[in-house]
Amino acid sequence: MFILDIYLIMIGLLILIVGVLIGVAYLTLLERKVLGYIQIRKGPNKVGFMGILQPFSDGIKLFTKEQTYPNFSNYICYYFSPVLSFILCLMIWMLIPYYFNLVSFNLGILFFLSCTSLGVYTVMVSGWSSNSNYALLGGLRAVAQTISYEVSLALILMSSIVMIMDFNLLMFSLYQSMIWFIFLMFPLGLCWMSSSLAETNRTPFDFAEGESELVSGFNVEYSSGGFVLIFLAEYSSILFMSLLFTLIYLGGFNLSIFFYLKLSLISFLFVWVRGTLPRYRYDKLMYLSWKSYLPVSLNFLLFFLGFKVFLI
Amino acid sequence: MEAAVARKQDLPPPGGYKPIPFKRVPAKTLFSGYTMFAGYFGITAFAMYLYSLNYKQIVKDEIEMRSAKMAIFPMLLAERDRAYLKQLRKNRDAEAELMKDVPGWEVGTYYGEKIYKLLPPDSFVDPIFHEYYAHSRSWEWYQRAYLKLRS
Amino acid sequence: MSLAKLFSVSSRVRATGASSLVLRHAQYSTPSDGGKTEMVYPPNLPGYKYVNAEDPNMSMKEMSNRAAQTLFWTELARGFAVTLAHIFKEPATINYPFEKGPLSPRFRGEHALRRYPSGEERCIACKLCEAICPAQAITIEAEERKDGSRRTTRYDIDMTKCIYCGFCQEACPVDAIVEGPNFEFSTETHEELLYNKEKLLSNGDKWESEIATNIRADHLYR
Repeated sequence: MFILDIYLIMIGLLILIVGVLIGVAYLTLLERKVLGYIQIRKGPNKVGFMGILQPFSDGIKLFTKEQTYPNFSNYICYYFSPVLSFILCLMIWMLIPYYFNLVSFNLGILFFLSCTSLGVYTVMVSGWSSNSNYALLGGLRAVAQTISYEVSLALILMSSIVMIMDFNLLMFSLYQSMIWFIFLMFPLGLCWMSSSLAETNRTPFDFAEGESELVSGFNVEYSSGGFVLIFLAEYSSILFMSLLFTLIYLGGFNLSIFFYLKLSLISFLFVWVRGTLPRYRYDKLMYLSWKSYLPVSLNFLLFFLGFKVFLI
Repeated sequence: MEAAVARKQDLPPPGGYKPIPFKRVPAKTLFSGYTMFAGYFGITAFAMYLYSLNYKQIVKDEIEMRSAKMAIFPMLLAERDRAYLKQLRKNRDAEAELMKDVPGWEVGTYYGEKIYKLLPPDSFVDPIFHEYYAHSRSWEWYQRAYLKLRS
Repeated sequence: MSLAKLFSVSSRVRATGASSLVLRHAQYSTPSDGGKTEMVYPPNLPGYKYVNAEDPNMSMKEMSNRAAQTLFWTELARGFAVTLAHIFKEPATINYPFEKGPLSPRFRGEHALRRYPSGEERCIACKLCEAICPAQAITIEAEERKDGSRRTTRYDIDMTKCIYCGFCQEACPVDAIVEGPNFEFSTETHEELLYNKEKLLSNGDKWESEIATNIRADHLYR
């Protein structure tokens, strides 16, 4: 390997991180505008042309706010858990299956599962180290929800891996050149969509935020700096989940602009769901994970294993 | 103040109001359950057929790629061996160049003595790693020793 | 045979699935019943309306409809279609400083003290407005004027106490104190909002034409 390769990989990753951050910023604008139009009002439209510069003014506002420091919190954990969650959510973007100048993980899907599992810790530690009742409750509920839905997420992923026979994310595009997997495994696509909504703590599963109940859930004690990092981490994981959905179900990555258009469409779907559905009750959410999605994903795994082994 | 203003009164429209429909209007079902299941099974079956076609094509591509790799493998080995021997020749020439003023030194030996005493004199022994890279930049042996393509 | 018939759901269900009679599968029926179901409420008598939760219809068609709804999320798709339609409707936002919402002539905004067309101020210091103000925002002191008429020397409205209820304009017998249509009178200091004795209130001269129009539009109902 030449040193130039390493330089190019680093430059590629840097451009990727900058791209992801800009994408996250505009995802917040997309969410506000789409939610506004769903509610028959306009979203922010004053800052730039139709609100294009709104994310930047939001960023400036958040960074110039005062960074509070709760007196009785566990300061090191409190300070570093948003940092850690942001690191994880950026690290997971290394999986984007680009053909050149980035790394190609042969075990990409395992890396993805590891990173999402580690993301659970950051939420729990954020909630606990804030030393506030509501933050703790929000954090606990979020952790229980996340680990429940990770199980079904992993099993649904297993079904699609069985169809691919590889853990590499590049292979998804190869196997979907004639037909997208969403036509092959439609109920699993729906379950994957729903589980990824639950993983990223989005409505209708947004207990961690619980906006009308716990004020702000586990991030109630965080002001400018920590809040920005948690917020960015959540939205970048939304973008990454849309990326995975597009890769796995809607035809993989074949270097055309349609991949990015499909990714944007799925992100729009996340926001659309937020504008349409009310929040689940907590026990119904747990019921859904353990008694609906888990049997469905296990049964489909058996079916696709049989299909792959005996039919193809 | 009263008489001058012609009052406009708010009356029902002529003929009275139309009756208000209050009965429940259930939502129009576009597809019945049977239709949806039939559609689902049909689409899935068709998709499975297309997937199997694609898979066969992928298997053919893999076989072709593997055969191509096997076909050129001897040539790659030969090229590697040639480069290796070229480097060994360069090492020998560098040694000759460096030690030409030292009295008693013969290239490939230690002051005239054979290095490997029990082997026949013209047997070829692979040099050790540090000997092979003795006259190259340190980046070369660092690359060979530590930078591995881990996949 | 009777026990088998009792415990087999399908035979009981199929026998009664087609009709819309409301049934309760007898939980405590004895085996001697022979698998008969207990009809609880015949709904077709006039005057009876069954309001409890009915058992779901167990015919194959209905079961497959419910299964399809569970598996393919049809009602969610309907909801999404409604929301999508809302995205393309015209939003109700107005561009505030350049477009303003409609106001009725009865709108209650900034207060003003009116005058007669001859220029004489209307207020005769009867203090009905001060008495009826629920927030006690009006302060009045009165004295005989030099030409002998009854007028105020001090008429203050504390706009920060005022609740803009309009009782003062309803109470005034001469239509002196009115609530005009202006609502954009924000200031940067608190003191400016304590409207003093008749200075700013007689800048109802500024709003007089609009106030007069509103009163004329509304007078039949006052």
